Amino acid sequence: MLKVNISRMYYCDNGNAPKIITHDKALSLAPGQLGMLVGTSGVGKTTLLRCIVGLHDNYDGTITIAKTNIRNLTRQQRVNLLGYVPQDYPLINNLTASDNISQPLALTQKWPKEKAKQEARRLLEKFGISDCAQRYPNQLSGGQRQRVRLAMALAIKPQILILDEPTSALDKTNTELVAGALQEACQNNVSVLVSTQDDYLRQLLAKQCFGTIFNLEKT
Amino acid sequence: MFNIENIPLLLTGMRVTLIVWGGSALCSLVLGTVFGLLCCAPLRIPIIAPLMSAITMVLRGIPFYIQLLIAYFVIPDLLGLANVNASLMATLALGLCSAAYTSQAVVSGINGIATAQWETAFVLGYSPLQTIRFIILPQLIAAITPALCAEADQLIKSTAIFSSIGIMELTGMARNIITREFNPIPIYLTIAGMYLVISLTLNGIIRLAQKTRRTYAKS
Repeated sequence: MLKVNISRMYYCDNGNAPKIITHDKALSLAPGQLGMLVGTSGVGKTTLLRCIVGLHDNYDGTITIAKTNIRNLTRQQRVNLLGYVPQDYPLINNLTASDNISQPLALTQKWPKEKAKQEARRLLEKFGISDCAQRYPNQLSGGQRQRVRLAMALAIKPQILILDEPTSALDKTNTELVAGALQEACQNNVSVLVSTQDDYLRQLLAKQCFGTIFNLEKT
Repeated sequence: MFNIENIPLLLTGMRVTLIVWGGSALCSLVLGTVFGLLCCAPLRIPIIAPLMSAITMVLRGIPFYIQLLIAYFVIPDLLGLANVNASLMATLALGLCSAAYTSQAVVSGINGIATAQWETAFVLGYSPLQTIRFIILPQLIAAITPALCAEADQLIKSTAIFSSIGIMELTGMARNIITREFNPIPIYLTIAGMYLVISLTLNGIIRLAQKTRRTYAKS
């Protein structure tokens, strides 16, 4: 169970005074539940997701996963619990698409290398990009990178999957593919929190998973 | 007229030049990387980072010739060391001086690596050491190789100053021969050619290595 209870969230530009970007926000996600985070640009959706995965620590309040404050999670606990697909879908630049998926499995989950590579092949095939396995990130299109990044997050089999605009670079067919993967994750008891401006993805998720909508608008 | 019997002597000097250059280059690479890692923004450690910055500033602000004289005459005297090995002290002095420049290349190389690469490593659960070993160093090496090659090339030429403290490297050996034979023109022209051959060989090896790396990245 993911519970977010934030009284204030700050955003700090280099050298500037912290700016409060949101007040009193609360959301909770049960295992297998899908939540959609909505709100206009600049309202703090990405910052909230970054707070949940531990990339942004400038907030007052608590974020707990199974009653444990995320600030108290060890690195291994955090990686086992949380999968994250960021907005600009960065990949590890010096690794091929396949290695981007298999190396974290081998290093942080201690999978044997061959098994990790097999899992990478399976996921790349699932997302229709098996022909990109040996390409480096700078040789992939935005949509291909986005799908590789999603595959990286799913490979670890986290309990909570956080996605920030996961279909911003995808066409309808691939958006359906992603929506299907998220539905499958929910069926496997994974909590999914998606921030999206994509109406088509919202429709698909609302239809398929009865997603809960969390509005982050200023009140 | 060039006396052909001088060739073995000059080759012996060239061997010494290559040994002290190799030692200095290794020292520069190791210390420069450590200094750079400790000073760069993502890994900046309080107290150590400003101290490293101050050391590199001092090393870059004093002419190498003065540093060489301090290393050979002043430091052993202050430490009460008798019969110090001139080649060893000169190699360390050149390595340390060069490390100050190498560290600047390392710092700018690391700062040039996108924050998203560090964040990706964090989210995937890489430890700080794994992040450096598997993500940062490979990208850093690719980014700063040209600067390091230029520094390595510069080091070969800097070894010529070693003759001022009596080391019989290529220039020292040449000066010895000239003192004996009073025939400077062919000797100086010969050693100029020998330095040029060393430099061109090094540049050829570097170009070949870069070409191989590019082919690998494209495959």
